[in-house]
Amino acid sequence: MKENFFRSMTWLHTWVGLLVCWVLLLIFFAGTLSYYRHDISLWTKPELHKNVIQSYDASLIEPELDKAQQYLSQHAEGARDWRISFPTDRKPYLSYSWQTQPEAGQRRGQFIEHVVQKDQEQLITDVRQTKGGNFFYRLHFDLHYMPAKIARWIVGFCTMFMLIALISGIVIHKRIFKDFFSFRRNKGSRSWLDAHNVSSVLALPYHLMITYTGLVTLMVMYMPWAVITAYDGDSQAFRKELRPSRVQVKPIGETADMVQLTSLLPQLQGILGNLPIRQVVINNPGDRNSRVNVYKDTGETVTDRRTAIVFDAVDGKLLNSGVEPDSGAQNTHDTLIALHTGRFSGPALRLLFFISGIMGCAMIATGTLLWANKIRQKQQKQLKQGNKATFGLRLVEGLNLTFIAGLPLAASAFFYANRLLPLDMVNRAQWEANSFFLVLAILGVIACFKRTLSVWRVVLALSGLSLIAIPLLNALTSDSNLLTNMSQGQWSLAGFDIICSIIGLSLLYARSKLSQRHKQPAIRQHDASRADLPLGRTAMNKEA
Amino acid sequence: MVSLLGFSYIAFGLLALAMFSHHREVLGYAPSEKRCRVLSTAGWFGLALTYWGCTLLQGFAYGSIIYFGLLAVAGLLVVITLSYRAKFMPYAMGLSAIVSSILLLIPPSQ
Amino acid sequence: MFSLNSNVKPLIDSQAFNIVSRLLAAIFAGYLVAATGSGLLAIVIPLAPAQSTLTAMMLSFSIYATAIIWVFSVRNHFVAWRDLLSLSSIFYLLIRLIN
Repeated sequence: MKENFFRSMTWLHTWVGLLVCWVLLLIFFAGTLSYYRHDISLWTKPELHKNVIQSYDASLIEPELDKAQQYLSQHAEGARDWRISFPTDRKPYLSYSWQTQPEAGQRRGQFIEHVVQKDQEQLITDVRQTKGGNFFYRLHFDLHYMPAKIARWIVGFCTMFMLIALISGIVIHKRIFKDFFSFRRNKGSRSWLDAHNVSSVLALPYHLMITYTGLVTLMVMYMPWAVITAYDGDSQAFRKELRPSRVQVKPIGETADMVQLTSLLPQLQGILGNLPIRQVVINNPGDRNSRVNVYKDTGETVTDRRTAIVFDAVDGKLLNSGVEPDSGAQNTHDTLIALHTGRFSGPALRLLFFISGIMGCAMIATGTLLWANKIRQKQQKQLKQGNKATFGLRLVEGLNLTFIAGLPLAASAFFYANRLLPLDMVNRAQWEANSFFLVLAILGVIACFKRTLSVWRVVLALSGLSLIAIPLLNALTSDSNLLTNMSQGQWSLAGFDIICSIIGLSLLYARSKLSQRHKQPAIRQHDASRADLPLGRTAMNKEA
Repeated sequence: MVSLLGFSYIAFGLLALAMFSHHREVLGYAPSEKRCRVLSTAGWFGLALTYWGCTLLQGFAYGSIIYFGLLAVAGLLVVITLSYRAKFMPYAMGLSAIVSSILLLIPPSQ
Repeated sequence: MFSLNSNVKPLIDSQAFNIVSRLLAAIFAGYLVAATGSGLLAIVIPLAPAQSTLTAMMLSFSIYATAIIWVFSVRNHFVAWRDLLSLSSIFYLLIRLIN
């Protein structure tokens, strides 16, 4: 019985993992980049690199609020909401933004953001059209080119499979602590297995956490049944009870003058003390039924609860002081969500999350490369006789090439498109995204015909070089460069350049490892036990 | 932070040395059973100590999260050292002990 | 009729059928157990409704995962179907009883 159990778990691990691994790799890759979502967004908007970056200054809140209210009532009359965002560590600029009324059939209106220049009266209104870091953020649960709802079900399905793969992986790895530190080089599929084990086991708490919390973030969609039994399916009522401060109000169509925002400050200070304000959101401005929501900067509090302090926007009465029922279940839930998004994390922890995410990518990549290698070894005899590899093997190898080698290249294509596409291009933001998928598609087509090591080498070299050249691209297409950013302490911009270069360098290193050991280009002419190793190392290095 | 990383590196290194094959590879001779036990106890003790340090410096919740991140990176570094420069392992551990201790003595600038 | 029977028998015993059946049981019957299980938990956990609902939803994925592992650990795939379906019917009946 026990032996049988292990065998079926091994089977489960292999096939469940293989079935969804490429989608999972895409999700992990995009999700990992999303840790630096705001930094990527900032990088992709060079118009904002100068004169706007500033830090929070409590003494300026009053005049800034006044100016914001004036500006918004002039420029954004009749909008669905106004948002005044104060500089935070992650979004280091002051901006006024608003959402226009949604057009018929749309759920959301257009989102417009004007950024305030530092020490100046003017606003930057003309920022290039780009999805920025939000592209990767959305990609990791909404995918692309399909309705979000379907995408989220696909992602949820894959995530559930990932959870199963993790659990069965733990079960079958009997000797988890015995072989803990072994990475045997030059040992064929053993090296692959080692790489898979190392990347899985070392970051196992992270992998389990990110998978489970990922499911929890969308649980109302995946598992609405508890709401159905306890609330008769009335999810509005459930939400209201859970987060009284975040209930949406509908406009009633009567106009009314808005209260002076600054007049709310004394009350706010009474509640917040010296805590910084992150954002002020005004729903239905100009309507009788309008609300002012003030969000504080929760900093590095792990629960990262985003409760609002709510005022009536017409008479300025305090409606909710942002206190929510403090209970175990809710704290657990908020902590789980916060762990997934990592919003609370400072630079050091963020980097650790990022590295763990990369180890997740490495785990998935080495897993599927290991599978392809083992199957190729099994088919060695037929291959030597000149037969073709089976369809399954060719498919897996092709997808491996497309996704494992392709994702870094696709990401760098996105960044290049962001800087090089003409600014007045129609659908510019969409074309940035298209260029990402175009690279994957081209690689997919190439992979149909050729999946040899030489193709891997070319792809790795291309992505390595293009990522190394990112600082150069930035210097040529924006007003600042790596050195000026560093000297001015613009670490999110400088960090972007540096991380890209480091990843580029490691890709090139991986490529050099491939060429050292493989004078002969084709994997299929080669002894598989040697051929697979550098490829395995490639996957490790690429992601690490 | 860096010093905590250094200490968990040492702890993981001790745990690795407590394993027969790694010990032989690094130091050139097979360890006695007692030596293995001592090393692994010291390793686990080191990991516990790092956890204590994390929670002390960063608070329980934040410290715990950081701890797991540090373990992943420290473990990765140990694996890399062992597979590429195994003989260098004791020196790397010594070096990180010195650097970590010095960093620990420097008060955090804030 | 007779010939059909002799065609169906080996199919039911075959490895492929076994796997497909288990996969379907894991995905659908497992989901059923998780759905009814979390529905039941939401009304039996003695907390404020919002809190118990939240807890039930968070736990539902553990239930799902356990159910899937169960499907792949029992000896016979029919047993897996039987267990999961009867479990979810029990859950469902309990929900009906309590609500």
